Amino acid sequence: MAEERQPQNVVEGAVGDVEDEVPAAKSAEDRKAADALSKLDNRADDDAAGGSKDVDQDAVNRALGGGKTDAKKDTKKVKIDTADVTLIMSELDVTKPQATSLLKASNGDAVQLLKDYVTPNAGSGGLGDSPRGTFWERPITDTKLQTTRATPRHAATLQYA
Amino acid sequence: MPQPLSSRDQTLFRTVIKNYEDKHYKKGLKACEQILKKNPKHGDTTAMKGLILNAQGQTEEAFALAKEALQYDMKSHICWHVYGILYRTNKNFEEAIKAYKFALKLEPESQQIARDLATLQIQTRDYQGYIQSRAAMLKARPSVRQSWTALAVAHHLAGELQEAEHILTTYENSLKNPPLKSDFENSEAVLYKNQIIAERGDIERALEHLETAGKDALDRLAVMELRAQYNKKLGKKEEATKAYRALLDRNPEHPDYYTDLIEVLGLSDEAERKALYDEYATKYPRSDAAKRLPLDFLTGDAFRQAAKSYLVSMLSKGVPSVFANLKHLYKDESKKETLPALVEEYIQELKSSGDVNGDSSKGEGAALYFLAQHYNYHLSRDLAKAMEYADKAIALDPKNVEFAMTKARIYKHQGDTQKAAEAMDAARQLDTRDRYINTKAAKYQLRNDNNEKALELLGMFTRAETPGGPLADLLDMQCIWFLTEDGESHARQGHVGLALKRFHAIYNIFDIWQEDQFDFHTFSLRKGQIRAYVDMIRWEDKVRDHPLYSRPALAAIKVYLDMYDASQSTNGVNGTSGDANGADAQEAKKAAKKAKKEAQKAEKEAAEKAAKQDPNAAKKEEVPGKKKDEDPNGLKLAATEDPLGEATKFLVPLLQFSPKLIDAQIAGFEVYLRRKKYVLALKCLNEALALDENHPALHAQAIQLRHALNSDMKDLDPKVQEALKETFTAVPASADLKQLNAEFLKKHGNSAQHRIAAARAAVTLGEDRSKAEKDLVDALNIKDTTFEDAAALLEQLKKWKSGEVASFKQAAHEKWPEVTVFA
Repeated sequence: MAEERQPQNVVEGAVGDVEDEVPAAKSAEDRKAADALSKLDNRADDDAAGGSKDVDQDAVNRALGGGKTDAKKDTKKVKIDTADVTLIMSELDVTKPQATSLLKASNGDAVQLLKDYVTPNAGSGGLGDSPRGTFWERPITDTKLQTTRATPRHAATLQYA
Repeated sequence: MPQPLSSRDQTLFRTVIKNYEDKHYKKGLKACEQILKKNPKHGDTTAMKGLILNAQGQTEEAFALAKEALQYDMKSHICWHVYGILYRTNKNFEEAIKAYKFALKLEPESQQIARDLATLQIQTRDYQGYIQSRAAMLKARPSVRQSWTALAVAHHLAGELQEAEHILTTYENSLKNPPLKSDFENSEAVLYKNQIIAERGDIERALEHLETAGKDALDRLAVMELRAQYNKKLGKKEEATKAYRALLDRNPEHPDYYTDLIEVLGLSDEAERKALYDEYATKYPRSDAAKRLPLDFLTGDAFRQAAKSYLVSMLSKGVPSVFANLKHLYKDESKKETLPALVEEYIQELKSSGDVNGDSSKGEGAALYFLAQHYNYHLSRDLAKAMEYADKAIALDPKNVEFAMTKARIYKHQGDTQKAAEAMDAARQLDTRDRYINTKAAKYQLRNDNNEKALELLGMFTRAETPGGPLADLLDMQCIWFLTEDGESHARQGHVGLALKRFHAIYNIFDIWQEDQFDFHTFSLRKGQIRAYVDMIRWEDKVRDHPLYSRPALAAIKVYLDMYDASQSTNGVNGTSGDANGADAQEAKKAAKKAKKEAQKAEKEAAEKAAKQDPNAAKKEEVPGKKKDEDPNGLKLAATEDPLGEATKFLVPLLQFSPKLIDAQIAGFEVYLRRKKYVLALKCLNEALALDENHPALHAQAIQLRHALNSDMKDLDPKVQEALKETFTAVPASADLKQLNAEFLKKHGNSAQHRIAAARAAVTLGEDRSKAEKDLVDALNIKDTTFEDAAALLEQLKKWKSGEVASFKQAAHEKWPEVTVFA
């Protein structure tokens, strides 16, 4: 199947002379905001203060050039037993990638991983401190749903109209 | 193979796209057919036809057409794009991303596709992918500020703060003319950059940046607050003081400004702190905070004095919220004594001096209302007295809604849901146009399991023209409190299907909230509101930590657990004797049949009602795109084959986002134990023990787990065995569980909740059930047992289908004649 092929690195030939899009004619669009969106983009183009494209292009190169250096690839190699992955998947009810990364984090030691996992607040398995730590100190009866107001769900989308 | 279109058809194709965007689906379809008549194998048109059908709700046909289109024209980016959109609208984001990427490969210059791809990547929190997409979009359109900001946001969210700042700086440096002061987008971007600098921990530089670049930012309040915070963090006392005073002059009601200012000034003495508040109380006589906040820290006579002047001024004005403002002080025993005494004093003074001014009823009413609430509050409860004061207040002002409402609350605390509902309805009738009291009245009806009446009341405030009546409108408006209360009510009544229906509705609403971000990925950037956008993204990441989620989730898990337990006992796996099993099975079947019948009846009635109410309703419901609910009574949900799997669905976010909620851990244990996921069960148990090791339920759970492991341990993977051996310490492996339980019962025999735990443990261990039941029945005679405890006892007995249920109910009814559940 074609869709399984990896896409090439996006937009290589686009640098240089870029023709701005004519969205409606070129491609399909599913969102209702499409029209407004392209119009606003055009205005933004006009607004963009000063700066010819060449100058900005330099800036882009500078900005992106600087960024590529500190690639944060985790190259640590850990040997992981597939049997352990299956075990963790079933015992902790997680997906394969999750199981693999959990095992990686504990150097492939399944027993240690399980031990750490069941220790309260050990931090593995994503159970960290709740950002609302103190929130629950209030009795639950005080957090009843009395003050909720129904907000029309379309409040956000109305702004597009 | 792709077919080229004639120029006429090309124009027509463009109108198809236009029609689609304008939602003129019928026209669009017609145009598609026209093109396809001449070019039956035109991929792009076929794809567009699919897209339009999808918008009309015909998902299956849409996918079929999209696939067909790809067969005709593998190399068309439109076909791939449409394919991606179809996946996206059906929430298969992974496949959608793949399709978009392929479309982009075929048409690298399409901004539209690039934007769609980027939006999906941030939606699924694929930060690295998002950075890549945004970098490419920036390369394509470097002259637009948005492109730069978007890339900075991408880095920021991925945690690469330095890179984010670098991008923003580079853009600023590339500008030849400084932006106008009134440029909102620039102002927000500057503050955003400031936020990033501060998040990097470099407060010094953040302050400097704020004072130079940020000082003209349009969000004045943010600048002032940041200035105060930075100076405080840097220990610059003088500047920080000035900044906080400026903030207080702007808003003397903000409690944090006061506490921060006090911290900056280093005031620790009670009198010094009070003096500061007094300064503002004099400067801003209308400020409530300056007068109220000192009550939090004052003690002894100083407290008495301050409280008195606060109470007198508030009560004389007849402010109804005085008690709500002060009840947090009740944690302090002496304040709990002082406050009502002061109010009594106030009433006495009114009586002796009053009559001169004539209108003292306002003050007296407010004072009586305060006392009624005082005796109704859980820390100072004396319901008889509460009722006395409420009646006095009502006698003073029979038309007052708040007074009448308090009476309903008192009934509720007595456990008399019936009377509470009636009283609340009486209060409602005093002001039928008040939404608040209407909502309250409906809630009390639900607590009394009168679901129809509740809906009827709410219907007075929902939009009348919504097809499907009030319920549909409440669903549409995502009225979570109603769904929760209605679901809990149905669960109490054993209407499993309807209860699950409501809980699932809430679950889905949270999904919708997550989806609602979608529009903002482009919208916020376009509007330049980046700080608010980043806040929103972070909020969305933990949206399910809210009690609005945890409460219905816990209720749903309970329903599923009961469902599973019932199915187990009918299968005879867990039962005690054959006889009981047969009876259980029959009863369960009967109940299921009855539920089904009732549901069918309700459905029929609802349909009839709807038809009567609005003859157009039926027509309206067939609006394309809006799917009809196939299972309005949740029968399918109730018939699930995998209740534990469904329970897990509710459980996982609960454990992830509310790990400090002990009820969540307790529920988690119950689910995982039944699923024989012992590691996960132990995790929940250990977490719960860390939160509150004396919680009675945990005793039963620890014994249950040890008991289960005693029989199942040998079947587990050796690695799991090893881990469990070392980490399960609550009950040692060698323990004699029966003896342990007996000791527990002896030690805590005076508490109903502990008795329930012990009884459950005993039954798990295969001990005589009738003895356990006796222990529960006997718990009624313990002095401290409340009617809530008794209700829990009753529930446990009912779950066991105990023969004692009727007599227990009778005894409880005698003890608490007013409580509705025992009636």
